[in-house]
Amino acid sequence: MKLSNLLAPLVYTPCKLSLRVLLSLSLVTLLTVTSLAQVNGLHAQTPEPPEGSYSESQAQGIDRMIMCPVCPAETIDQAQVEISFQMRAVVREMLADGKERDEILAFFVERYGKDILAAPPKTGANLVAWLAPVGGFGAGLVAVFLIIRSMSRQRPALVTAQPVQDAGLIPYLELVDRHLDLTRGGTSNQPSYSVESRGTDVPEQSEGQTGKEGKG
Amino acid sequence: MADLGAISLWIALALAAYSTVGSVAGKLRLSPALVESAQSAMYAVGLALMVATLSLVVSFISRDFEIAYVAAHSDLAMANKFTWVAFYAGNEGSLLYIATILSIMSAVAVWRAPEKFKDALPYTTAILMLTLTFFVAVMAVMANPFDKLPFVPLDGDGINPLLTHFGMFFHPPALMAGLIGITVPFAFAIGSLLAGKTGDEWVDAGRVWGMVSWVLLAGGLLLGSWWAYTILGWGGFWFWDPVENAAFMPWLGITAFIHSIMVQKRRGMFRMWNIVLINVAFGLALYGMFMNRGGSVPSVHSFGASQLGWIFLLFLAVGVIVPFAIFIWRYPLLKSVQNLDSMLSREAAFLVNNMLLLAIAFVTLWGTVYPLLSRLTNDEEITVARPFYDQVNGPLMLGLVFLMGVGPLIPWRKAGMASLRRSLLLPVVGGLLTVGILAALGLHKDYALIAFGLATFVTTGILMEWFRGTRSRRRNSGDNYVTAFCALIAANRPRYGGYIVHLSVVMVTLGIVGTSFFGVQRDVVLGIGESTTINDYELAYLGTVEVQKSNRTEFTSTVQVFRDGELLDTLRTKRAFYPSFNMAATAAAIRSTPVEDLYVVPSENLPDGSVGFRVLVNPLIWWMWVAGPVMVLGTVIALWPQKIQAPAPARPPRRFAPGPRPSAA
Amino acid sequence: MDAETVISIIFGAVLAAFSFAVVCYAFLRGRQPEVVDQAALPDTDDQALADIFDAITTLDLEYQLGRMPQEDFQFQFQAYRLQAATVLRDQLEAGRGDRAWVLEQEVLMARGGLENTSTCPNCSASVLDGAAACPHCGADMAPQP
Repeated sequence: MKLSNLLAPLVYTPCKLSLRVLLSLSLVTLLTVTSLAQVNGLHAQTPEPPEGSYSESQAQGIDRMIMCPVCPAETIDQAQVEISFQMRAVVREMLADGKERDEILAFFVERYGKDILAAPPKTGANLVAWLAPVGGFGAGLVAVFLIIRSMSRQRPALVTAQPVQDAGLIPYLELVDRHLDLTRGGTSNQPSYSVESRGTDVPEQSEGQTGKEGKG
Repeated sequence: MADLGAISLWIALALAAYSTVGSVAGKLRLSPALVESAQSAMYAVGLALMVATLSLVVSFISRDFEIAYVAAHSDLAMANKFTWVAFYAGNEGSLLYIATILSIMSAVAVWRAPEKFKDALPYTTAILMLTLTFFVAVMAVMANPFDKLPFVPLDGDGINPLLTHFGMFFHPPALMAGLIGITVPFAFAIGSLLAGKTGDEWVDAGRVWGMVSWVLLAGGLLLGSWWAYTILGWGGFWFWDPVENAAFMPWLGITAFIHSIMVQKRRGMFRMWNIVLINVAFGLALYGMFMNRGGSVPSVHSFGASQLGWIFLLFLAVGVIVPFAIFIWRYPLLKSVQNLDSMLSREAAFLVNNMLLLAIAFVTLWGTVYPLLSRLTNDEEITVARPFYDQVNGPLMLGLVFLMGVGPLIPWRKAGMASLRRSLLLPVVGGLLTVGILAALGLHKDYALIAFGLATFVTTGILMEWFRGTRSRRRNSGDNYVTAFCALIAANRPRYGGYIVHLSVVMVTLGIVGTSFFGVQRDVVLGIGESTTINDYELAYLGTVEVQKSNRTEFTSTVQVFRDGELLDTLRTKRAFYPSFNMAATAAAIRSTPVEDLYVVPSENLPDGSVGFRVLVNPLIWWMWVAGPVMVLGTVIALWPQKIQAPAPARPPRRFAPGPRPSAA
Repeated sequence: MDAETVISIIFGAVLAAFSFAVVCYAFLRGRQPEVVDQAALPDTDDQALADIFDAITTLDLEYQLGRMPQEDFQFQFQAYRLQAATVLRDQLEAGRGDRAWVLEQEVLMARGGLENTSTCPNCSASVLDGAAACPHCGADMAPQP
């Protein structure tokens, strides 16, 4: 698809162009302005602590991987109890010593067991924990595909419409048309709103139109 | 008043049991009087339970500590306003609240059931009342809120300090009502199956009550997040706590349900799927209640160890197996008459939407259950917490946001490529522009970029629809933009209510992405007069005032906020220590703007007056809280009845007296 | 037994008696002729008609938002129109349906806009062919061929 084809609708509707562009640009601006503040935040980090060569956010990232042993379902980053403070200090000490993240985590696992980690380790039997969701999602995609296919198969379906048109229906069509006229503000063969930039706008006279007096 | 409460509880039990049995028996034995009597019993149950609730509330207000439950959850020092809502703080009282709400919702739902559903209504009543009987029986026999102590204590134990917060008024009631509210559409669906109805009579009631419980759950979840944000003292709002998950999963299920029920209403399709879906949602709601009371998984929310776990597990098993058995029994009746015309259609999009929502629910369930599995099979203790969910659910949720943008723009039945191109062009351009501009400005976090791009994509799509609809209407009616827009909404309430709710979801996404990816956190200890900086803020700690109250010691610390030397605000943050609970509750000071929140909370008060502070800058989180009212507004619009009246004649009809036909004018 | 307990028991007894009365009322009221319109098909009532008009509104919106070609729109629109007329006929001929439709009908007939009418033998009002009952006096109409 050529770029010009892609952009054609935008270009060839001159009276709407300005409005559309305005709309999209204002949205983009709104989001950009709000995001800019964050961009500032990215660069103006809190000053690095003097000891050691690690960043506070790195330490916090590790904190979030370690559960507090005494609090129910909280990481040491969240918990504000004494043991949590101590463990945080240990993390920073080890970072300052130059230890890697995995070494620090392994240190805690050795002391407290595997459940001190906030997520299952991606090794061994626990890999299943991570793979099951992926497998489930894949199965879900396949299921959706199969369901859609089964629903699309040709069935001798009842068409939603076209009940047998007999003369006895005519007076009731009258009533329906009148109601539609009143609520839609147009003749019952046309949509009540004008359609934008469609080109062919001449409505066809289809069957069911009973040209008679007493209408409208 | 405890005795009145206890008596009305037993009356309620008798009535609920009678209503259950009577509805079914009356229907099977073709005794309309029995059916009607059972329905009256249902209304009476509502009254009895309201009396019971009232007597419990009065006991709290009058501080009647002879009742064990009142003594366990209040004390003389408790502020009066909290005595009104303390009754649902604990296990027994929350069961009473749930039962009362269920009885009221059942009464309203049955009273307002559509005429065409009437012959299936006794089954619906029976299901609602069976659930109610379960709750009331559990209460009366195993967890009676009106049990008395053998003596009258001088003072109660007091309520958990974390609960004396504004959120206590709204979060638990909304959440519990939302969870039990799922029973109503469930009862309509299964009632329809039991009665052997083949059509879509239950869909109207199912849709309305599905949306009611949806908005209650969504509001409850958002309120809970906001509450955690302001009181829990670590600056976050959601941490995949098992009980949070227990409410989140049914919400996902009911979200899927209210979307795919639209397809059934519109085209009579997805009949089987919707039954499965509401079964799943109800099962998840029961599971949620089991989680909350079973105590099998540790949680901030746990009601503590309780023997109710087994009973709820049993009810959960029955509540899942029996409906599915009924579904399989009635399976042949549920064939849909319509075809799916194309893979690229709104019907198909709804299916994908359902799949994504259920995938997220599955991941959440898996994460909640995995520790148990690991303990049983591997004999290994494993924790599953935030990092797991963030990594796995994150991409799924992004996919959902994408679908939220595309879905409303795809037509029913079959999407022509031309019309799709026309509808999607502007949103896609908007999204890509956002990504490009942000990347150029130095933002390199992939997820955040994608998320912001998707947010623009969805918002552009929605605003574009609004604009085009308004313009067309205006061309036709000649009104100004505002009038045309209001008329457009009024004429298409479910649709435009839905758009507004989608916008609120975009706002929540912005809040989550901003905080997760661009939040900055610092822990510092400040002596009096010292200051620290975070981002471009400078915070000066002025001092702490210590106040001794009857059940706690309150430390109020004052912090001044400067930017570029200019004083922006003076924040007061509080930390209260409760000796009887051996815990501290904090009240964070938050300076909130749409761009970012500055969040200051004390984590420890040292004897020399210095304070350990946690300071955070949370970008965009304001949008998440504002999304709450917007979501409610959208739902109200979507639910507002849009009855098409029979025709308004152009002229007042002439009254005919019997007689010869008048001559034509 | 102190006063509070006594009051509680009295109120409890009142509640029990009231509930009992409510439950028994349905039996004591006597048998009413059960008007169970089993013949009423679920989709021939006012909600069905409202749903059809609702669908037309949505169809309009989708069309003027440019989502479907005109042929599709016309096809579906005419289908809905015929469906509405059929539902309306079923309702009015069986004597059900919103009163306002019946009055509408009268207006049209009075203006001479409708053919296919005859006269009710009981009250001499105009009645459409095929109606089972006269909309005015309710008299049975002889079945029309």
